Formats: sequence, structure tokens, C-alpha cells
Amino acid sequence: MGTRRHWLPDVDVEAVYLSTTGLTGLGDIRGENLTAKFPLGQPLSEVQTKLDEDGFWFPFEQMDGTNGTLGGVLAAGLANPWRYGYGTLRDWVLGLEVVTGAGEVLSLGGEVVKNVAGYNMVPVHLGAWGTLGLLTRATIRILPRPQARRFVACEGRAQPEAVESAIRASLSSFASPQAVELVLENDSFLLLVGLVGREERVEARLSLLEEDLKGQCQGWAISVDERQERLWDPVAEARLQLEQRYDWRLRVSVHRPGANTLMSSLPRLAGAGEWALAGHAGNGVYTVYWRDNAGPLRLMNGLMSDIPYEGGVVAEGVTCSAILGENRWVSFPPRSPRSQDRVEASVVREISGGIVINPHLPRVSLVEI
Amino acid sequence: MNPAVLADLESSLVPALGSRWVRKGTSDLRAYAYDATGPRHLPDLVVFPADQDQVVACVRAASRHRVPVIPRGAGTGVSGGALPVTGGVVMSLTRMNRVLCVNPDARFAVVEPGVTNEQVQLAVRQYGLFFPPDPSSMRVATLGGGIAENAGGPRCAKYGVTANHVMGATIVMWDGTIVHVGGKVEDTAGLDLLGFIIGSEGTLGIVTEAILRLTPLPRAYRTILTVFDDLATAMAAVSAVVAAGIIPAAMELIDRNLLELIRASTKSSLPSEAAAVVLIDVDGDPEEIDPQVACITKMCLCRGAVDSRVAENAEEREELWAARRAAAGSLSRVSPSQLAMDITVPRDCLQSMMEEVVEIADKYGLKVCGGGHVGDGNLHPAVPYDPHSEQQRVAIERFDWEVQRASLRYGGSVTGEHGIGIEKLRGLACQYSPEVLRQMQAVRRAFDPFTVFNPGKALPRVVSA
Repeated sequence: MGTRRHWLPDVDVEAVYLSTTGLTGLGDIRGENLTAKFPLGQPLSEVQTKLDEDGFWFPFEQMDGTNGTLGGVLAAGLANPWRYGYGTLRDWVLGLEVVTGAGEVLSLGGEVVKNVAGYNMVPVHLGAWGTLGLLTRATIRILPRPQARRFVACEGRAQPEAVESAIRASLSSFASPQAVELVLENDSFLLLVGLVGREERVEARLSLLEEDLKGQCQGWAISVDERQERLWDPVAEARLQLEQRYDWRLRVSVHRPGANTLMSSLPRLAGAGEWALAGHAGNGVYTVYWRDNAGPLRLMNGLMSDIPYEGGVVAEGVTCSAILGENRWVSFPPRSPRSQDRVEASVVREISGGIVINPHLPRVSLVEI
Repeated sequence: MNPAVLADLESSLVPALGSRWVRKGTSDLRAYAYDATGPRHLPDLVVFPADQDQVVACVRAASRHRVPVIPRGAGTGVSGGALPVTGGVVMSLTRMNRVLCVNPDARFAVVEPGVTNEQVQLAVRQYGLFFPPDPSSMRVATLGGGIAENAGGPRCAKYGVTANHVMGATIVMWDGTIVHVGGKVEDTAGLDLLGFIIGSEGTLGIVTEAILRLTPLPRAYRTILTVFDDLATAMAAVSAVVAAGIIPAAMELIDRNLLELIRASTKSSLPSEAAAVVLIDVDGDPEEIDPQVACITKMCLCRGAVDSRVAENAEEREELWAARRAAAGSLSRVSPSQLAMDITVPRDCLQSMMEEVVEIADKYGLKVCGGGHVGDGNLHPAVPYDPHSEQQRVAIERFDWEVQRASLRYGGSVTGEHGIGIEKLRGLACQYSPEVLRQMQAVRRAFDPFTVFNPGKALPRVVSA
């Protein structure tokens, strides 16, 4: 669907464009195995609708307002708010049908939840942006449709330590949330804590969570949201606005919750009032937004310096590549860089057989610092 | 091995490791010639590195001569993965047995490969955390072995396998290069190479450090023992529980034959007259689990269970699980040799698959002991046999092959958690197309172009079109 085209460098070579939007269909849902197989050209929302009609759920809900295909989601290796409670795509994709650059059709993985026959060839395609093969069909794990999905919203103005405390209160609450999402701009923040489960238990857990947050967050607006559908619309709307207001986007992965760490550094690196962040606080994975006057290298180097490697910082903001003038993905921090890159390059060369799909997309390399 | 090569290896390794930790005596070679399977293959040398530098020294010395290196944990593998089938250097990693750090806030632990699963659990429990994969051999089996085989265990029904709980690893490549894959944070840049490493059966590199993702301990547990007078009914009940959307922490099958053996070797209170029992664990928040227990109990009774009872206390719960874990040991008492299968099928095919297993066993006059992690479709039909009987060996081979083929017909896998090793190479060639196998071999070439690590395992040597 091209919903992430703006993340990627322009195509500057002669190319054949293949649209996957014709790869649609009802899918094969096996309720007694809690798996489903779908062609990958249809929007994720349609996949969710089909599952919902049969009483099932795939714990992946796009929260950025776009409507990408399931194949696009897998190829881009996207995350979603439920990753705190349910993990990432690599935990939910059991099998993939892939068409290689040589035109071979490969059925990778399988339909069973435990399979150690040979190497696991599925994860490498998740987040590979289609460079290793065109994804055409996937077998995913599914869950029974939850009776209730709700969230508690907490918003206000606060210092870094207080935001961190609120996140920690959520993570340690006996309400056992399955999502903890943060949107923060200057000192205004929105924290959404999501719960999934049986109706009566979710109601009880919501009350418990509300109490836990009120205990930590004096003076903040805390409320149980009544919506039962499109839970993440508030996050989606907030992110869309951030995309419009800022010039650069950088993904960082820090030790959970990590908001404090970032909030302490960003005002200094990006300038007061010139930055924002949004992300999965339960996992320590955020997108940092900032303005042009604090160029990408300065901010990235600053974060690398502030946050020791053990604490993470991984940059994958493709908008950064444009300012470098070269189509290079950025990999931070350098750690045995040549070995890592060499193995990865060998893997790509060997399994692609030299025929690379999406050749305009760069391989992982290092920024010269 | 060429004596000159062996001498050169020794001259490199003794200074690096110390003479005590480089062994070629007959008794040492014999001790490392086997694992939990039957065959024996003598290595040429056994080394015991204590740290990553020593692992690098060993690998460099061996790869200089293209001598195979066979990494080994505790030797509890059941697919022949640690057997030095072409000789070479067995590298025992059991000296590298430290839990290096635990970060309870960020919920990860960094461990060396020789640490046992149980050691990890004990190290992190004080923080209210655990590492979910729990193979039956967890008291002895090492994390390095668990990563090599993508180990499972009863709790995988709810929590997933090792691959779902490892965030990163440091590996030593065939030329001694050190590579870090994944990391101590949730997302790392680049392609997912960790996905290849986990379950690679020691063929892509030697893991010298692993970063484990830890999970909060459940606040409450319940264990249900359901009793059936018919194996097929038990399987149908399991499928029904899954179809109802209940995901217990574990669902374990023990059939009549296996019950008999367990009762003979332990003081278990498992019922003697049942055709099958299914042991079901439910865990989570105290307010959540009792309704689940009630639902599971009702469902099993409606589906034909003749009895269902909940363990009244922690001691009874532990006693039931100890009996389950005694299954492998109880089989060994009957015969030193047994075929331990590891097929996985979609959970809606459990009943048909078990019926077919029994049918095939009857065809060859074999007595199969049925067990397995039925919650995730993973069956372990086991057949004790006399390895000195040609007739039994032939029957076992045919039974094994037919059951593997049957599992593939149901859309399953020839191995859910034991690995291919040397035992299931033929099955792997049936499970995947030649094109997919060539891709796997391409991955192997990318990591280990000269097949230094564990040759003859995990993948067939040649794949014809």
C-alpha cells in the first residue's frame, strides 16, 4: 500500500514495481490450532475483521492511523502497543511463503507452534523490507477474541522522574497490563495503559490500575476510557501530529522504561521545546522526534554518549539518511561492527543468490562519526 | 586425525587452556563419545575452555587445520547433536557456567553457555522473575544446549520456546571472530541473525554469552489431573480446550504404558488404571485462574474424562510434576535404548495422529509409551527396544520413519524441540523442499563456509534438485 514509502529512500534505478495488493483472500483459520494463514496483500485491518468475525484476534493493532497490508507490516517489522504483553512479530509468525529474486517459491517455517527442523528461516524476513524475497503468504498464531480491551489514560505535565514513576507503577501493578504507551512533548505527556481479558476481570483490573496510578500521579488527569474499538486512536492522532510538526525521526531502544533517560538528554541535545517522543514504554522502544536545527548526527552522537551501550540506542530513522547525502541506514552503536556486517552481508549474498529485490534500499552500515 | 595435526592442536591448546583441560586419554574420549542417544563416536580431543578467549583459541587452532569442532553442553541431547560423528574436537562448555548479571528492572540476565537452566531459575527467582523454557532435563541441561536446540518444555504451551526468550548472544565464528547478535535492549538494528542461531544445533558458531529475557513469576498456580479411559478421548479433550481459547501454562499427556513405567520407578500417586492422564497447569493472577480451572475441568468432563482433580497444595502439585519429569528416566530403566520421537502436529490433528501412532506401533509389534506436550501439539511417542536385536532395530526404524511421514501429512514437523541432529536428516529432507534446504545450506555457508562446526548435523550434506 506504500504507507511507509516516506520512510524509505527514493528509487533511483530502473525498476519493475510489483504491487502485492492482489494477494487477497479469506484466509484459512484453524481455530482448534489457534493459527491462521493469510495472503499478504490485504490490509491488516481486513485480516483483523475476518478474524474477528470468527471470534479470533491477532494481537497487532497499527496505531499510526495508516492501513498497511499484513505483508507490509511483516516486511517492515513493525511493532505495536500490545508488544509489551504479547511480544513482537517474530513470536507470532510461524510460516512464510516467499518468492525469491530468482523466482523460487519457498515455504518457510510451518503451521505448528513448535518446529526446530532445520534453521528458522522466518525471522530474517521480518523487518528486511522485502529485500530477501517478496512475502506472499503467512501463517500466524492467533488468539481467541478477548471479551474486553480497554485502557486507562493518564495525562498531565510532569518532570522526567514523575513520568518514569507513572510508567513503573503501571508495569508493577497487579492489574497486569498488556500495553503501556507513552506520548510526550516537552513536559506534557499522555500515558495509555491497556488491558485485555474477560469482561468482569478487565473492569476490576481497570479500577486497580486507576488506583495505582492515582497513588503515583498527583494532580494528573486519570480516567478509564470507555472506548472498546480503535483503542489506539489517541496515540495514532498524537503521532500523526508529531510527524507533521517535526523534521527528523529516530527510533531508540533503551532499557525499560527509559523515558527518564531520554527526557534528561533530549532538551539539551535538541533544545527545549524542540523535541518529542512516543513509544512502547513497557519495552523501552521509542521514536524520538526533533527539528532540523539539531541535525541528526549531533543528536544521535549525543544520545550515544549519554546512554551507555548497555542501555541501548539503536537508530533506524531513514530520514536521517537523506541529510547524509547517501542512502545509508544507520546502525548504532558500533559493536564488533565489521564482524556483524560481514556476517549479515554474507547471509544476504548467500540466500539472495545475488538477486536483490528492492536494491535501492541500503544494507546496514555505519555512520562515520 | 593425522598425528601431526593432533600434535599441532595440542601444542596450541595446552598453553591456552592448561594441560588439565586438553584431554586425549581413552577414558576421556569415551566419556565424550555419546549423548542421550545410543550411538558412540570417539572424538580425537576433548577441550574444556573456561572463557571466551579460550574458546577463540580452540576454534582458531582447529579451523586452521579444518578440524571439526563439536560444541557440547551436558550431553543430554536426544538427537545426536553432540556426537563427534567425524571425529574432531569436542568442546565442552560446562566450565563456562556463570550467571554474569541479572538486571531485574530491564528484565534480562546475561549467562554463559554452560550454566544450567535450573541455575538460571534460582538466580532470578529472588527478583520475582523466571526464564520460561523448562525442558525436563532442566536440572542438568545447559543454556547453550537449550539455545542450540531451541529447547521447549511443558510451559511452552503458554510461554513459547527458547527463541521467544533470548534477546541476544555473543558467538565465536569459525575463524575465531566474535560477533554480537541482538542485544540487551528490545530492538536492535540489522537483520535478525539471532533467529538463525537459536536452534542451529551448534552448526553456525559457539555461543559464549546469551542475553535472556526474563518474565515476571505468575502470582498463582493450579495443577489439574484429568483422567481418561481412552487415549483418543483425551486428545479430543485437549483439542477442545485449545479451541475454546483457553491457554493453560502446560498440558502434558501420559498414556497407560508410560504411567505403568512411572509408577514402577517412582512413588507416584498417578492412577494405575487410566488409559491416559493429562496434567494441566494454569497460572496467572489469582482472580483469573480459578474460573479457568473450572472451565477446563468442566470441558474435560464433558469430553469424556472419568475424573478431574485439582492439586490441593504445593506439595501435591510438585509430586504430580515430579512424576511427569520422571518419564524419561523411567523409560531408561526398562531398556538402555529407546526411540524417543518428537513430532509436532497442529492441535486439531492430535487425536488422528495418536491413533495413527498406535496403529503403526501395532503393525510392527511395538509397545509405544505415549507422552508429550500436547498443549502445543508436540508428541513424544517412546519405544524401548533391545539394540542387539536386529528384528527390533528394523522395526524401530520403520516405525520411526512412518510416524515422521505421518506427522508431515498432518502439516506438522518431524521435530518440535529435540532437533534434527543426525537422527532426523531424512525427515528434514521430506519436510522441506530442496529449494528451502538449499537456502538453509546457504545460511550455513554464510556463517561457516568450511563446515568447521558440528559437521554432519542439522542439515543434509547434499540437496539434489
